[in-house]
Amino acid sequence: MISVSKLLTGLDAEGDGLRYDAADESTKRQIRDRKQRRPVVVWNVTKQCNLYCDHCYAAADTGIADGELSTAEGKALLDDLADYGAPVVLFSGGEPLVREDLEELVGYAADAGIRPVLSTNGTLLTPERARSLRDAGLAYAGVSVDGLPERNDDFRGVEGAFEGAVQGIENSLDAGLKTGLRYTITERNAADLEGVVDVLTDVGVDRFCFYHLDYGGRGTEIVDADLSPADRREAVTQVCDMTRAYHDRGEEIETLLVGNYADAAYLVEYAREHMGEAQARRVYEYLRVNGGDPTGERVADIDYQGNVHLTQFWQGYSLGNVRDRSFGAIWDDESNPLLGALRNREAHLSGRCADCRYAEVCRGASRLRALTVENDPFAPDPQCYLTDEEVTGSRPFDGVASD
Amino acid sequence: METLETVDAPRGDTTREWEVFCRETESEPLTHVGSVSAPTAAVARDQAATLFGHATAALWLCPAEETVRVQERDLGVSETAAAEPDDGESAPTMDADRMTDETLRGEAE
Repeated sequence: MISVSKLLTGLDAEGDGLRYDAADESTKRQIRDRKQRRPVVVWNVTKQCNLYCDHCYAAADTGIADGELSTAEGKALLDDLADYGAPVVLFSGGEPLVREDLEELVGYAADAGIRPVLSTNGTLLTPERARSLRDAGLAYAGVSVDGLPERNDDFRGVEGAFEGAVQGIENSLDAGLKTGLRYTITERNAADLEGVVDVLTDVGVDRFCFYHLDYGGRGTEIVDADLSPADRREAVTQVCDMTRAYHDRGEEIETLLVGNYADAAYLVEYAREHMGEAQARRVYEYLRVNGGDPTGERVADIDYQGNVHLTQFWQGYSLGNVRDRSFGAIWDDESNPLLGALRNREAHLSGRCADCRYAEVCRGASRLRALTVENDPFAPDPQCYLTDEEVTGSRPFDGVASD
Repeated sequence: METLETVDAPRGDTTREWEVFCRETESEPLTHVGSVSAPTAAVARDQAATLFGHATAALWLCPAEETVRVQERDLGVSETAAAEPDDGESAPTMDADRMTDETLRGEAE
């Protein structure tokens, strides 16, 4: 997760402690110390969902799946995560609001010292649920919208889903919850990006997360609808330009890019071209601390049955199950050759990733896309949009690294 | 191990799950390295080879539903369920009708 607003406009945000080891320089409440080194854990509390989105990595549907962790198991899992020092648990799904014990689990996480946040499609976020989640201690609600009304509803399989999500966002904001947008950019909806930001800014949203499509779950069925490298570059440029334009108007919005660490390299190139060498150097240093693609390291996923995954998108392989071993025991077990290789991926990346001058801020980007398209978890990410000229040569700022 | 319990919760839903065991060199023991989701044994074998082929002398796969898991750990269910008797067995989720009824669609309320 790369904060464009932090890197290009200096906007302070609560996640900076986790993302850039920048807790000390922030005026916002930050996650510190041991927790900074533990993964953010996505927990898909259910596979059930009231919508049917084309790109759903969890392949969710309306049916209740067998073996979902019970309330008691969920609380025991949260105890495990708290003992391990997980800083954040992201309640996701399916649609997490179909679980009637969501507030109980959110409250349990908060009491255990884990920051509880939510990923939802927003259409079950009634005023009552928004207030009860706030009272339980929810710290943030991210609501998914993937285009203006017609395009979003087509993507999400239910007419009225856009209006329902906006209603949910308003309910969340009215309850006093920090609320943001999640937007997965594809060829089908890239043209709507700025329109959606304008609509939701008017509603009161000030945090926007733009996801690149990863190739997991139903996402593997729409790979053809993904952006071309040139269009991806244009979309990321649009996010950068838009962030600076809002900032210049005095309207601060937090913007983030998720799911393609080629963005890290591109942000350095963008900063150099538009803001000068000194700013590019600062951007590079933040991103070096950030550490590149987090798969198997700074993000983890636990599915509705307790299977532990390398990221939420990589559901086809599980490291183990929390019904068998504690999360910490699974996550720390580097006798697993794949986990060990991912954490030492510099020794395994191939093709142009092997010699990329931006390797330390990107680390090969999505290993899942490489696996899906190239059948090789260490091949270059097929969605790297940097030019050969940009990736060739020595590190951009030799001497910046402090270690 | 003092108390061993059989864990019979499913490991997969729409796609079969296959437990993967890996031997890194001929002199080492087989080690459990997780599981892959795949519709057939052949696909599971290919997936495991793709993920672990760089570091393994042997791969064994076993259908998860044929694997008996007997262990001490119970994810705290016995303790918590005893304290909260209504709470131990299944996840409380909305049924399909209620889910549809409660879905916001932007209509005036």
